Amino acid sequence: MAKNGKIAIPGTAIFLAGGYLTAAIVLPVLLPVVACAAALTACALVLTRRAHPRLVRVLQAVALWLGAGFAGAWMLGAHPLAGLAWALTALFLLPLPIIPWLYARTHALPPPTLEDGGP
Amino acid sequence: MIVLVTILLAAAALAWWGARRGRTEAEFFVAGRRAGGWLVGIAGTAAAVSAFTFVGGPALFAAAGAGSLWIVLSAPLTGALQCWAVGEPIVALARRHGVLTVPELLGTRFGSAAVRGAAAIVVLVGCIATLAVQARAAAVLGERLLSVPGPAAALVTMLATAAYATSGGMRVSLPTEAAQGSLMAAAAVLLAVAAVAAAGGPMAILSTLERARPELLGPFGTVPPARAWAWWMLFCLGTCAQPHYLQKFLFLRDAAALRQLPAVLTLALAATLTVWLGLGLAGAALVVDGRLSLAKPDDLTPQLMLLVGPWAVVVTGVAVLAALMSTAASLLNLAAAAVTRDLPAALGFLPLRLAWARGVTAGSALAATAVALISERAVALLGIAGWGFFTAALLPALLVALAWPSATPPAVVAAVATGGAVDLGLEAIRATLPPGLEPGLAGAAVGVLVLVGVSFLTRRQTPGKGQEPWEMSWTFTG
Repeated sequence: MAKNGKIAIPGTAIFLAGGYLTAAIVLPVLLPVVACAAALTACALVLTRRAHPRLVRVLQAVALWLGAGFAGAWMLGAHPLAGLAWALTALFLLPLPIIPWLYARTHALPPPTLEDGGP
Repeated sequence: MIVLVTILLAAAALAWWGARRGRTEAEFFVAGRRAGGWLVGIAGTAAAVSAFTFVGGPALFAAAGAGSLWIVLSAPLTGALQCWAVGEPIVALARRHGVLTVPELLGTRFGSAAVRGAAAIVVLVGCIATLAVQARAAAVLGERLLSVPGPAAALVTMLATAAYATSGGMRVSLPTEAAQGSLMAAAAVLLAVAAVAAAGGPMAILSTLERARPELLGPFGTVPPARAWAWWMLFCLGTCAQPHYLQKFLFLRDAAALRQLPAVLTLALAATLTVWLGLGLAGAALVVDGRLSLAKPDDLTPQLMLLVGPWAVVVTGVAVLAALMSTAASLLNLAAAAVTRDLPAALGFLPLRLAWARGVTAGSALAATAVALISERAVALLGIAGWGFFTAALLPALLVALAWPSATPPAVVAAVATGGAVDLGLEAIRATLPPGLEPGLAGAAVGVLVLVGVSFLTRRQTPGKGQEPWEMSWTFTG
């Protein structure tokens, strides 16, 4: 993972930095994708230190939440009450207790075992 | 006036208590490194939440509707994000090398005095600017909420904070910030409930707004969606680059304390943010009904609290001053550390003695207050600019370089300088920028490109066995 990080970290960083500047200036429709990818990539830096399968699953769940939350907000843009309810519920209230709990569950995980899909 | 006198008396008591405690550098700068997750989490939230949450946020909601919420919608993620991305490596490096400041941590990671110096300059400039915002906000809000002369409110707030921050450093400021954070969270929930009740309850508010101002209730309100996404990204990723946030990781007694930190941070932040939504919704509905009339958006909170009752005005005033003081205490300590430890070390000198740190703490408070009393920029805009500057200058170094073994010291210095310069340059022409181009994010993006590019233009020697990446030497190629 550390070896991969030597290439993956600068490669992803360039892609996201360039992606943000491009999206912000000429393709704003891509901004939610860049925002979602940037936040997830920042969270995934933890995998350079401890790449446990359970942690990967947690990050996949975060990706699913962000994708669904952003897509829902986009689709409900023209619906006043439903839009507000979605933004508050899906993007704020629902994940409020869950993400910290997921962090606590995966904090200082032991090395992955064969059962976990580790070496 | 009673509130100001009470604050001065409490500050004097804290200063007396602190004079016997913050006697070593570890006590003064990192609170003895004995704190647990609960204390650090609540204090961290208090330092993070400024008067903008109580005044600027609701005003922005009344003007831009739910679109303003994209500034805070990342709150469920930011606690875990901070720990995953920067908190865990910072705690590990701090424990291993005994570092006391964020610039020192970066300098140690890259074995470079230049990196430490560049980070210290950014911290010093950003802290003094943000301190001036806090003092300015104290003047404006003291006048509006507590009916005291603005300069008196600013002076009392900053001097009271400087008193205990000078005598005991973070050893006193940390528990004080935790108490202020608890008070702010309780006040925020109370004020939000009272404001919504004064406007007729949630159903009446929503019904009024749906009928008269439906555009406020859509997920983006009246904010262009591109700007809303950019706000979300800026205030999500930006949490990994704010020195007064990251400083708190240096206070933890061990890595195990990180386990509950995101839960505490998120809970405290969510409680405090209820005021943004509650006052924003209630205020917008009351403006539509004609029960509130605003000369300018920032009048919303004071006018709404007058409608709720005199007790609400006082509670808001106290909560706002608590928010200002908790943020200011951390910033004062960071500025003192930059001047007395990081900049001398970057120039090849020994750190200055603790007495100098106390002097710089008091001097920074006075300088910021003086700047604030002649500044006329809006509190809300200044708050966002301070956040953006730290994000632009420090995010590439803290998020990318800290995790990337091949990042080189000259690249980090170049990224810090470029990111900060791009942010300040774009802030000057903000009105002409596309809605999705936030100066802080643009500065960070350019900084990342510079970091990677310059790192590839410089060559690092292969580390020896047992040598850490940050202990490697580096040379320029060509």
